[in-house]
Amino acid sequence: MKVNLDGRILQGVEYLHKVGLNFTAEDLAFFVDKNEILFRKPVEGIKSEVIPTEYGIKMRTVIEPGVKIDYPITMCFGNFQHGGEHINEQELIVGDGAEVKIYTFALIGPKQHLNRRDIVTVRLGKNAKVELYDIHYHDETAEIKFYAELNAYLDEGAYFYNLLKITDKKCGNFKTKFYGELGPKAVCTVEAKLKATEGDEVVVEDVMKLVGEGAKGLSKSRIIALDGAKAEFIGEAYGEAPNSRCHIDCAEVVKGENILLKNIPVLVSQNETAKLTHEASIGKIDKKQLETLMAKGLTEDEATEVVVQGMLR
Amino acid sequence: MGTLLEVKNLKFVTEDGIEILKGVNLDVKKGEIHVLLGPNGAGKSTLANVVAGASGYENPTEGEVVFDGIVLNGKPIYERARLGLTIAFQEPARFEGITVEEYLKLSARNNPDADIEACLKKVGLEPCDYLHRFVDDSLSGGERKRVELASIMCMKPKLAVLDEIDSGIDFVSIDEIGNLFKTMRDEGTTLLVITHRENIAKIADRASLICDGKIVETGDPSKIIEKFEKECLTCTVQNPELLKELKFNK
Ligand SMILES: Nc1ncnc2c1ncn2[C@@H]1O[C@H](COP(=O)(O)OP(=O)(O)OP(=O)(O)O)[C@@H](O)[C@H]1O
Ligand SMILES: [Mg+2]
Repeated sequence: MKVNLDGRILQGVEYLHKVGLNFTAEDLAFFVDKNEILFRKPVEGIKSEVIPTEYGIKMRTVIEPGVKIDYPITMCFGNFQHGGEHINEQELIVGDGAEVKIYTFALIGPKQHLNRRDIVTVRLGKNAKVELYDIHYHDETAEIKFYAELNAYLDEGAYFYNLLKITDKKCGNFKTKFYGELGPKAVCTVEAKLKATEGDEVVVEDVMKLVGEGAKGLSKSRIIALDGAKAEFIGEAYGEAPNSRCHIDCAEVVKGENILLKNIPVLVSQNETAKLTHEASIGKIDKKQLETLMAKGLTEDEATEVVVQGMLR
Repeated sequence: MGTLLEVKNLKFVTEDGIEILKGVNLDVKKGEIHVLLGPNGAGKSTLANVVAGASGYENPTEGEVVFDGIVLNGKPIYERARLGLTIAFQEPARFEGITVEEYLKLSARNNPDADIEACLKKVGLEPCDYLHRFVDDSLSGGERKRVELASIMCMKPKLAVLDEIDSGIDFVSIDEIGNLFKTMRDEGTTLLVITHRENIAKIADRASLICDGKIVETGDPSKIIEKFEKECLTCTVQNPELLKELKFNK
């Protein structure tokens, strides 16, 4: 299918390159500017229904049981010419034993004024395997209020990995909430990597509910807060099933002044064989890390940059 | 052989007023392997930190650190590194998201001739298995130390202070690490090696014994080892763990 090379798509691709992703326009399966669908490519093994609404789109995607897609599906949900109130609702249903890797890009162009809500629900069948990369690029001239909600329901033996990344330019007023419900022997890892700069207000909330025996959850967040940023992390783990495990690991690193950080772990065990742990840190970059690099001739600023880039990778 | 590092009457008192170094005098000659022996708590790491200019150690309470004719007092660690003096810390840090390859490249950035893969091989790590590993908690203690040693080789400084780089490394034969030190020396890196292993001390050109914040004696390694065993081991009767370690490491 020939791709309509609308200027917005080219700009979107340029943003992807800026965040280090070398996709071309031809690699994209779907591109929408708020509720204006610029193109859509059918993907074998995937049934997808998309309905544009007044404020965004509604999307329902079904991957049949046993279908294994061995290349990444990429979808852009952008704001280039259309901002304002914006609501995306997406549901992804992944059949038993199906496997898929999906990239969703939230690309926000210059001077957009935005109040956006993305509500995503993923249902994984038995032994299904899903990797979901949610990569953002927010132009620094945009004014952004963004709420991103992700709900994942994992059936027995399912595996779900999610990465949320906003590490370029700015986050804006950004709140994300993950809710995961893990069935027996399900494994779920969610990672958030954010760089908050001047004026940004970031809230990351991860809730893991371990309802099946032997379920395993990991929530890992890395938030770098620069001058004048605010960031908050809330991690909650509920160990309801026997032998369930969950680890919450959040490091918030400060670089600069006038920074407000909060880090709130909540562990609730309802089964004596559940094991819930957390690691929370707030503060400057570890002195020992800086020194180890500075002993190789890097200045403190250079060493800081190396450590920060590594954490946000 | 000229002197590369000269430590003169060095005193180091902590902010809490604890005197750790009590007047250290030490000279390390250009092109030698100089081993520093001493019991736990003698002040070896503190001396290493003051020499390298680790943060909080740049300004000794008294005395001087002179390197290649330049007084280092007050100079931050990276400036000393740029002058050709580096340190492998007793506990090198770990880094999320930085690969062994990137770490070694950072170390080699002022040494265009560095052969990263060859350095890794020399410390017993297969490049194809390790170049893309992260220098994070997933490396074992021994692997981390090997990477650190490789990074020093990549950097090829004039002087490297190695603070127990051999601890946790089970080289197939101790000769292996000894030979590595000799190669580094022959290729132009003078070494100040802190170790608890007698077999490594043996390969030194000279050795010094530090005790309670002072250098007690400098000279031929065999003599220093003997003195260490005779005097420090009896002295460390209060420290049976060390005694065990020393016997074990032989
Ligand atoms: N910042 C500090 N504040 C107080 N005491 C300190 C400080 N740093 C080191 N010390 C003490 O100074 C002494 C020397 O410490 P140092 O680490 O230099 O010993 P070391 O010879 O390297 O020992 P080891 O063989 O165990 O590595 C020790 O008794 C240690 O507890
Ligand atoms: Mg020490």
